[in-house]
Amino acid sequence: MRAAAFSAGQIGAAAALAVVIQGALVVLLVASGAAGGFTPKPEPPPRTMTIAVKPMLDLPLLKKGGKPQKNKLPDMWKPPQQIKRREATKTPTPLAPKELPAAPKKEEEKEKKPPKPDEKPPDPEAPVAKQVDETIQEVEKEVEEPNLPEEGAVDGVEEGTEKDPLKARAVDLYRVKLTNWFKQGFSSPLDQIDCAVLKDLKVAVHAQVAPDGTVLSYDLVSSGNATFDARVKQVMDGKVGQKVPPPPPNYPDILDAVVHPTFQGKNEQCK
Amino acid sequence: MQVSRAAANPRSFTRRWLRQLSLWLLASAALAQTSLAQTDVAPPSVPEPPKDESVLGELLITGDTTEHVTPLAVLPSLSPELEDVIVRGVVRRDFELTGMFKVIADEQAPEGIYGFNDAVDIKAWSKVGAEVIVKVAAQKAGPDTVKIFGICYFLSHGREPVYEKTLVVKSDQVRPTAHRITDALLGAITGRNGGFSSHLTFAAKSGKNPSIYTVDADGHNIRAITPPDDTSIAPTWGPSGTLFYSVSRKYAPFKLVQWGGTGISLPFNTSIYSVAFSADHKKLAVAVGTPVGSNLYVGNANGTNMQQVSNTEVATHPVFSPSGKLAWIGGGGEKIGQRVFVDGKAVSPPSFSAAAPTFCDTEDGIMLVYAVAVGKGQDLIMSNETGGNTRRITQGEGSNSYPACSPDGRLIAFFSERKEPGLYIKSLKSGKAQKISGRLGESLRWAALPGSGQ
Repeated sequence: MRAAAFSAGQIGAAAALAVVIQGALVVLLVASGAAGGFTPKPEPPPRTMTIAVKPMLDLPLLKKGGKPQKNKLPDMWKPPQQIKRREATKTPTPLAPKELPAAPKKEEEKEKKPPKPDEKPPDPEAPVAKQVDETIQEVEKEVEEPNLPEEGAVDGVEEGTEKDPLKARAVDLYRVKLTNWFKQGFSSPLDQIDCAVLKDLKVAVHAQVAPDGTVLSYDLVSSGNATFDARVKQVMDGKVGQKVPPPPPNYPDILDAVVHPTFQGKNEQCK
Repeated sequence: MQVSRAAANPRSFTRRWLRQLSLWLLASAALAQTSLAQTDVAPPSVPEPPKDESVLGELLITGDTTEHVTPLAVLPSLSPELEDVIVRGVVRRDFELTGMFKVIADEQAPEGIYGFNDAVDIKAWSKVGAEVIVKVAAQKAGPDTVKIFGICYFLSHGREPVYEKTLVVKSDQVRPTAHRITDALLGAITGRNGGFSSHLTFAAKSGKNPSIYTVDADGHNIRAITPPDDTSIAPTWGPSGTLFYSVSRKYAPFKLVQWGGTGISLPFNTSIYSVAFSADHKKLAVAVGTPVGSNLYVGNANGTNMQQVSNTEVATHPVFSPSGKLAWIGGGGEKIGQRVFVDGKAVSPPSFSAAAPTFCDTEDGIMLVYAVAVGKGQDLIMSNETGGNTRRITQGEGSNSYPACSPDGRLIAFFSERKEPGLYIKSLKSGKAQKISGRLGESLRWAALPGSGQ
């Protein structure tokens, strides 16, 4: 007969201890429920606020247009060209062999017999090919520039107002420079956030810049992901107090008091 | 008879069982807490960013680091006129030296006549990948005058040129004018004018003693301008393109002189080792010899009101930044070594002996560039105006010394004792270094030509 593993007292003490701890947990849960638990915060009442409105005097977008010709009527409006639908093509079956079987040799390609000793060589002037394709001369159609009623650039956009292509290009180049400056020290947290989530994350930053280019402060609109927000915050904290690259000397007015970098999780590795 | 371990030691079994029970309870409690915490946090709502109405708009920043280099074509010329050949050659080389563009090779040029008045075949050039087209040409306008023009097209903008500049100059001004055309075209393309309408000066041995040399920004027209019997050192460009340097004759103390001018009267009897003018040419800084080293004085450009600004045993090689800051090399004693001082504060790393500071007004702001001793040679270092954000400009390419910046801040010139020693210029944009002269020297300075607009 085997000896009892536990005495009755030991079992009783263990059961009593378990009941006490579980009971304490139940009491805690009930207490948290009684305290009200989670109640959503009510929407703040709408309040009036004043906002600064900046007149859009010199947007960088190039204005769409052309060089108006006084003695010529403007071109007729043309509907935008339709995008061609992709033609459905047959896809090969995956069971098909990867290498094509060798095509049967044509008669012409068959091994030629060596010429007989009494055979005369062909006339060098004689045509070699039996049939020659006609040479088609490439005729390039002269493309006429559109005659639009308003001055602007061919590659501009309807809502554009900037008629100076040099300034528009300078703004483009300066945007690249600023983007690269804000990009310094920023890398997408690929090791911490799954690519599927990361590619949709975006943090909009509004950075206040002094006239001498010093970043004074910033505020950001959260992406909803704390890790990504922290990465952007870390970069922007390092930028405060530093100077952004100066605008090109020929266009010193293009640096605004507020610059709007938007940090994206999407990149080459994570599209 | 086999007895179980629990039976053998009931007390230890109880302890183990209680430990498991407590772990289970802890896990349950943690789970309950987590679920409670989750109910406390509402899912974050992502508000839409306000619509951007600024000039620059929204800057999209990703983790990628790719930069577009603009393909640029300089139209070939079939003109036999010498002026035309010079202008085109100068402008093309200037664009290559900037390192900012992918200059399309002449071999890729579409067929055409390329005469002075011939239209540019925009379509054919876009086929070879050009995004910007530059046309420069020159022809005689009179018996002693030449008409030079430069035109720029953005292929995205159509057939009409976006910029035109025409200059009529004397026949001997063709080369400098070609540089001016390049600078203007660079201004049109980038918003910042070029710095090729400029010249460099340095001291280098010519025979027994060092002489003062001048050279164009592209390495052309290099020449010694001081007599070989004099010991001439530390040249610098002054107001209106004047040249100042220190000269010693027959072991006498070095005196500040102006090339082809009357010079500046200074209240010092000892040697003047180096000199610098502020960007607006209103201030003058000079390194004045003392029995144990040298002191730095700053005063008016005419040599009056000179005040000592250094307090180290040695202070030399002053240079003003475009914003008015003054940098120099200071130090003394074997332990301290030489460091770069900006407005009296040492800014270069303490463990490296520094030399020859200069300021660059770059596209990224004002930068401080200087040389530091590395091994047996020197390498160039760049930092911001106050010494922060240090980065290396040269490495593993021999000894590189005496940096000088182009007036537009895009290029750095320096002497290099690499495989092919000489005077090099390096693009800060592309990092590409190109040799413009085989001569080595010291105290290199670079300044815009008078009237070049820089």
